[in-house]
Amino acid sequence: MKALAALTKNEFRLFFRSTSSVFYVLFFSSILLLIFGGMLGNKPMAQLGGYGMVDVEIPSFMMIVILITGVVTFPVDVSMAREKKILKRFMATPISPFQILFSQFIVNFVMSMAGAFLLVVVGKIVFNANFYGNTWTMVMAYIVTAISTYSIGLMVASISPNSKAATVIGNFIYLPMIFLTGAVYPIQLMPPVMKNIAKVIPFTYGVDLLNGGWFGSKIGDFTVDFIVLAIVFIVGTGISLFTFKWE
Amino acid sequence: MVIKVENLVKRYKNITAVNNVSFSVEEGEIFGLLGPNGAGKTTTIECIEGLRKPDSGNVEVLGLNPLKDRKRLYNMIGVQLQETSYQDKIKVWEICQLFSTLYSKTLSYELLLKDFGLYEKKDSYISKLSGGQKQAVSIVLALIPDPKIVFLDEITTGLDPQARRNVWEMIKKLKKKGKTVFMTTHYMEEAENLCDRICFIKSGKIRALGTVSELIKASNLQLKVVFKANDLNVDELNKIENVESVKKDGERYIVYGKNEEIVKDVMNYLTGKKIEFREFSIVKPNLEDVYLNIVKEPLEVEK
Ligand SMILES: Nc1ncnc2c1ncn2[C@@H]1O[C@H](COP(=O)(O)OP(=O)(O)OP(=O)(O)O)[C@@H](O)[C@H]1O
Ligand SMILES: [Mg+2]
Repeated sequence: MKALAALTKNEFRLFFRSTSSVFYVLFFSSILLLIFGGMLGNKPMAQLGGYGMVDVEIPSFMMIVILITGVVTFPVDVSMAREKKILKRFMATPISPFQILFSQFIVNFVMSMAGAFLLVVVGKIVFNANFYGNTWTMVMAYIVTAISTYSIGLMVASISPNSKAATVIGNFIYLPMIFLTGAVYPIQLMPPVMKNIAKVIPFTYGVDLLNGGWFGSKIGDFTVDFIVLAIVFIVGTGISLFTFKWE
Repeated sequence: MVIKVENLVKRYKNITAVNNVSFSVEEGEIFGLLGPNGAGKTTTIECIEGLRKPDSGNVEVLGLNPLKDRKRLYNMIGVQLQETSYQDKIKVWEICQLFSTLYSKTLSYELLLKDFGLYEKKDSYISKLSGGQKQAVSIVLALIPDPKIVFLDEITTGLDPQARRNVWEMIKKLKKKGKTVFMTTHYMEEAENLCDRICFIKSGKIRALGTVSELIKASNLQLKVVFKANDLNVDELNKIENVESVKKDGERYIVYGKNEEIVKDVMNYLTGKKIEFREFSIVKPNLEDVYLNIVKEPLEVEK
């Protein structure tokens, strides 16, 4: 426990020393919200079921934060530690090397939550956004979506031979995903072709779950989301377990 | 005996990196593992450290099996890897403090930093240190658990001669404190200077093992007496006791012999005959000669 706390503290320190991580994880989605909100405002729209654009964008943009940390920064951190033989060096100490992975997970996860929280604060203050759900349901929806997404990140770290490859693969997943899953632009406003594409992408169900949490849907409405995200989790961790290398 | 290796075999996909190696290391000694690039030094050391799983054979460190008892073992050994680097944006004291939390019992890293002349650098990012300072950090990290055995894999590679000598002093200090040091190096004078015993490996097999003088003796390399003189009878030189052979190169004479007696004998001959000679010198075979001798030996064909 003492070691995990120290490792995590250290990862936090390294996070804050990386300007690009701080920008992408903490501020990027809030800046995006300022731009979108500035363009489109938060007036109720019929196509959005009577909600405003900013109301809809807040939970969707949370998926952007989750994807940035989950499939880009987390796997890049892990493969960087492997590439620099840092994981190997820690293997020659009494702690379990899993604790290093875990500390990197914690830092990315906590910082993503901070980024999501900032998103909400900006939405509230600047656009007077409305939250219709229950805070704890929202947090649960966030955690479930994030854990499922991070398992894909672990898989990216496992199949990448080095940190460059992890960056490329991570961005290759992240960039199309934020557009295809409705994280940037609501699915409701997309043409039918795009709606159908979105349906077969697992992360869409994360966006849906986050939206459900934000708009206070009943738990029963989340069943499909839960099942899809659970399958993603099992596949992601399963492949990682078989392919992960410590060096 | 603190390290025991028996019939160690380690294969990678298509090569056998370590092929049936056996040796043991005594408490308090500096043991050097030497050999050309790709000989299997790092593989051997990592099998002993429990970082690699041998394909067959036995490894015992401080009475423990490194793979089964890793937690206990890593509290008692200090490890420096040939190619670790650290995060770019971590400071010296931060990584030291982090490592201090990983062990059950530790030495003060501040004292260690002082010992290794790094205390002034404790607030620097590791990426901003010189090569020698980085190696010193690696040694400090290896020593934080106050280990009984310290493993150093090419600790002085890439260092300037002065920095290398500083590392030698550090290693000698470790020995004085009663620690066992298991090291690899490509510098023969370093091994000659530091190691109590040396194990030469090549292509994953032990070629020679012993103290420096034992290795030199066993290699059958000859002592040379070299001098210049104007006119000399080579046949007479050849008849001197203990002389094995003589080479003449212009006015330079090279006399080979099995032992140090030839120095006296040759000298007696020259003074007895009142022969004028210049630039008289004795060239003893050193570890480098032994090494080159071993490296050029062809491998025996396996059955
Ligand atoms: N992870 C690996 N996968 C495949 N082959 C490897 C691996 N590590 C080492 N080898 C091979 O095993 C052999 C022994 O390598 P090793 O690193 O033990 O040599 P070494 O004596 O430490 O060399 P050097 O002096 O260059 O450090 C080499 O032929 C090397 O190419
Ligand atoms: Mg090596």
